[in-house]
Amino acid sequence: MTNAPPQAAIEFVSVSKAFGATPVLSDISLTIAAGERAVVCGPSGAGKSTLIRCINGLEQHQRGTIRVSGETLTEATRSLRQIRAQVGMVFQSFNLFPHLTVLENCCIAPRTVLGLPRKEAESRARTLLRRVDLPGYADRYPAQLSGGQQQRVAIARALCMQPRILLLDEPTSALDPEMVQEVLDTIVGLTDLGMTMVCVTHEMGFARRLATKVLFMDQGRIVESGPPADVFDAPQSPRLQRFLGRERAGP
Amino acid sequence: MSAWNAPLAGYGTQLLLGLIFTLQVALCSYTIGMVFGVLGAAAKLSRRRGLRLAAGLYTTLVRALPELLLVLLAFFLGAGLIERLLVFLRLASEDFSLNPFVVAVVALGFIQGAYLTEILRAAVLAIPRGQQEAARALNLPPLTYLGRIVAPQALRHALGGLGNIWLNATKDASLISVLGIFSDVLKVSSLAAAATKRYVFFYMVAGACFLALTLVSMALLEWLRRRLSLSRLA
Amino acid sequence: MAAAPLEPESSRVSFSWDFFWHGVLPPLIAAVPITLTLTVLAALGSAILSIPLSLCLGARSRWQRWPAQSYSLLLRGTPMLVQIYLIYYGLGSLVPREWMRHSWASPVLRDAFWYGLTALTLNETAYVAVILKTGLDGIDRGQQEAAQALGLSRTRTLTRILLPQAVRAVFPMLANELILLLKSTVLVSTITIFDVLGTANNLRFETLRVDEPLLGAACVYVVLVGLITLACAAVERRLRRPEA
Repeated sequence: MTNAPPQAAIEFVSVSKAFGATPVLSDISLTIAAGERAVVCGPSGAGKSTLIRCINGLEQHQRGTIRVSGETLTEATRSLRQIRAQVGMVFQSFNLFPHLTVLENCCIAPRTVLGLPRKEAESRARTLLRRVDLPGYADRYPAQLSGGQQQRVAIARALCMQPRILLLDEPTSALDPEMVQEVLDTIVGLTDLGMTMVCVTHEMGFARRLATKVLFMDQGRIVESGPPADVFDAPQSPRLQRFLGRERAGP
Repeated sequence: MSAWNAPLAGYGTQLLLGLIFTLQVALCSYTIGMVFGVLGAAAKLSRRRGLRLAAGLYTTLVRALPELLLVLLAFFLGAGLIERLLVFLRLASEDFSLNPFVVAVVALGFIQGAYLTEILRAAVLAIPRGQQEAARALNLPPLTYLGRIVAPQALRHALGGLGNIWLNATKDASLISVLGIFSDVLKVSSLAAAATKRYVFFYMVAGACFLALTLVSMALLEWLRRRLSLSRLA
Repeated sequence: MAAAPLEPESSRVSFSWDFFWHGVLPPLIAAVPITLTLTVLAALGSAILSIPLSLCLGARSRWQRWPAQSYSLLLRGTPMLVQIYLIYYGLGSLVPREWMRHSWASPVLRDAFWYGLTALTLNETAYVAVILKTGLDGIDRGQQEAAQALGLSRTRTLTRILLPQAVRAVFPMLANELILLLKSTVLVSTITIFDVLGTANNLRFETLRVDEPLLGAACVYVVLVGLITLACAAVERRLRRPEA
């Protein structure tokens, strides 16, 4: 569906950020190529959410450079808007607009930001709602949907903008256990779109299925990175070994 | 004395007296309002349907009518009716007439009472039901329960609303200037403005006086709020 | 402040129903449009002006916050009557007499209605802005982030996402404020505007009858407030339906 450009999709060069005196990101450098699917994992407070929120400017980095599709992130609004037009985001708490129907949630950005006419926006939205397996829900309101359904609508809403990069910030952490699988399956089903994806998650099995690259973060640094097989089956650093030991012990 | 009076074209003393008078009106009307409010809240919370309906009528009617109209009604209708009633009951002589200050203050208090009723009622309802059950289990006499348990907690819940109504009281006191028979600060300002043709100046002075009342009240309310929340009731 | 008698003897006549129905209610009802026009125009004006004011009240920059907070304090901390007098007598005396009589704007400058409307609008803006800010503050921060992530502009985010939710959240307070505004309109009767109370007072002066005009005005206002309350309740019910 998307023709990914050959340059790196996301580049971090010595990026640092602190909240007051507390460092949150320490000298992060990474490259995510177009079409790669990166999973960021690590203990709580490692800075994972902050990392991906810096990519679309929801958090401002203080030192270093961030480039998205070649475009450098500055504080200027215009550059942020251009970047956000290509970067979609799915939030932990869905953040659907409660006063709009599912269809309106999906259509509002394509219509107002991309200028799509109503018919076209709606047909695009309906196609994507079918893709996330919610074909008949266009006229419902978010409050009438379960958590898993709301998150799938959120995914459809982000996809309606046809982003080149999709960011997912712990998409299943706020869901009841029985709804986690449907959302994870939906996300894995997006791989044929060829989008670059960056996902923060605790779900290791899902990470294995989805990722082409895994980044393990601890205390604001990237401790280890590589293909999932390497990171999960042959962890090099003791911190990662401890983390995986803990994760494997879980349900 | 003339040093500060001069820019005020000699009206300085009168304005100050007017401000004091306005403050008196506000204080008296608020006090009377609290009386109406406590009675009204008690009526609304009582088990007798008649009392609840009567209080409901009170708050609904008063809150549906403009304050200025209520003041005029009190002065031109209410006062006369009460005077005639007192004469009829032979509690007063034929030519008895109510003190205008009393009429004004009771009228304003009557208005504030309607709002205070709602605030006090909500504050009492905010106290968890279990407290009443505990008091009954402990066999606390009702007056103790009311005085030592209900009142302090209700006051803490109600403080914001009570403060707001006080701020309204200080502003509503300006309404009596319309009647023309009181020398409150707004009336004096109007007279001074008309006499000197310096309208903007004197109305701004009036505004400044009320603003001063508001600011001082807000500071006192904040102090009160802090004292109450630091108390061991928290 | 001697205790002067409060009304002339002639008003201690018994209540006349005939006068009430035929002499009082018709002119009062004829004055209802003026009261309603003042209310509606002031409500609309303050609704529009309160949006930027509420944004400034919550702004991060103190150059926006301080003027906004000062405006709010000034207009909510002083009596409406003082503000009306200030605008009517004050502005009126500032405008040169030549302008009053001959300029193209003279119908506006001479008619007390516009001064009253201005005072009401400016005052109401301060109150509505505070309510609106409460509503905006109550919206989950995630909403704004989602709108930002989708690339919606600040204006769009405000008008399509934030304001609709804020208004729904504080609708009861806004409805209450509308009724307070209706009641505040009576104060413009002191600057020669013939709204319902102004007409009633006029009747008092002309006929020296006190009971009927004032009670008639009371009835009219109770009905108006009742109608507005019902209308607002209906609107509130329609606003709630989507979030079933």
